[in-house]
Amino acid sequence: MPLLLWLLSESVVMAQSGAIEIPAGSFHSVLPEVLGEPHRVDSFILDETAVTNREFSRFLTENPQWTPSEIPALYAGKRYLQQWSNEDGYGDEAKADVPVTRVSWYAANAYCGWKGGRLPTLNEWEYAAQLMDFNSPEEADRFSSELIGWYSAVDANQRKPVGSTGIENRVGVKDLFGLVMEWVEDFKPPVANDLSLDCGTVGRMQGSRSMYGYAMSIRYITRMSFKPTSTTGMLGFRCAYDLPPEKEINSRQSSAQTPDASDKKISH
Amino acid sequence: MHLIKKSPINGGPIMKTMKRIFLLSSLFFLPLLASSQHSVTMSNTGLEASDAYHAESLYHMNAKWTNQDGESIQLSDYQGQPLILVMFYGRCTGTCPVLMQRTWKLYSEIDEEIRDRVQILAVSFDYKNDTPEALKAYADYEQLDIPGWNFVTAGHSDIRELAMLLGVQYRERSDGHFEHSNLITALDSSGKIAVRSEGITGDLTGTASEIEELFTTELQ
Repeated sequence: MPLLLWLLSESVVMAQSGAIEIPAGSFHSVLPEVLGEPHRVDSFILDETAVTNREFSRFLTENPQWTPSEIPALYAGKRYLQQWSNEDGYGDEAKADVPVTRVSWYAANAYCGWKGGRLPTLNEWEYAAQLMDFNSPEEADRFSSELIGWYSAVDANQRKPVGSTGIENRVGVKDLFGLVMEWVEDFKPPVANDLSLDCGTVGRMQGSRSMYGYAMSIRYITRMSFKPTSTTGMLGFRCAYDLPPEKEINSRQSSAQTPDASDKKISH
Repeated sequence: MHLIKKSPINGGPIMKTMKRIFLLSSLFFLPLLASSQHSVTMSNTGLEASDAYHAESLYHMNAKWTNQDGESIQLSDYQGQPLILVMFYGRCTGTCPVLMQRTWKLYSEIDEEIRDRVQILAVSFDYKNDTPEALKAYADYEQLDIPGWNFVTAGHSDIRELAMLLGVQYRERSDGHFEHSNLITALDSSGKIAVRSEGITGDLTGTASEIEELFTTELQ
């Protein structure tokens, strides 16, 4: 029994340290550069799961200026890591593999910088989130409608560990939906000030009339309403990394031969 | 309360000048801090107090920037004096030349007696292309190779953090150019955002006098 437990916990740790290469491709953004045209994304590396309490706690040990007692008001709201039972840690081992939440954008950005990466850009995150395979339009609609339900009531006190949703994109990135919403590098893109957060805007933002497009619009709008100091229980994050230069060239070459990711995108 | 040990100011003529200014101005600055009603906890000795930044001070940012001469700069190096910040990128052919010209215009509208104490930090979004060498060439080309002007770059997440602190939005387009806000910000001598001028049109006289006031406050 102890051996089994050890094996289980080992595999969880392995999963967390995993990062996955996302092949280049394109997707339909609700905020396209050119109206009606898919947005191209170069290949990059994305964490397989969201950053956990355990991982974030390690960051704080090495970077005490980001602990709740040291962090200046400039960088985080009052509820920063409020759910942790004490200053340095999440307390309960059961929470170790739960995505860390109530982290401000600044803290998330600093964590990823410390890891040698960065937060994924809005377009990178959205592209990864759209690399989903469905067997039929009906299945895609069913998924999207569940997604809309989830977005309308994201649990700010959720306790499930990473990897527990069973939702995985085409290349194995887990829980992009279903656990927490996630910070992206440019969650307020330059257009954000011009958009008001009313229903009409959501309607206009819809790139398509599909359920998936509607879920996506809700996600964009919600994200734009955050402030960089926001510390809500709805929000966690994962990190992205640039490919090493030589690898970038290889993957660009190979992606020219593979069909555009948007071709395989769920049908509307 | 947050304490950060002030890093030693490193070499380079700019840094040396700044150190002198810092030592001078801190004489005026410390009593000012002590009398303010902000949430700064002052310690008993003046020496330690200079390490305590206001909760909203951008000096908390400990990113290391590299200027066009390869020198290292931190925002807290400017402690005790106002600082004008502008974010741009060197290859920009759209609004950036206008934004930088506007920054120069603002600079030239500041009272001559103050102007040689004005510090400008122009931060590039384009960490891939705007190397110190490229920034040097840019400053020369735009005839902005002026004492007190620093053109700097840093790591990706540092640049994004500063943009977020200033409220500058930017996004790299697929053609490698950037969509971005056009914003000139001035920090007061404690590192807090004091003046913001958005856009690339309009009169700058008001902004210039607001910045002059930051220097007057500093010397009171």
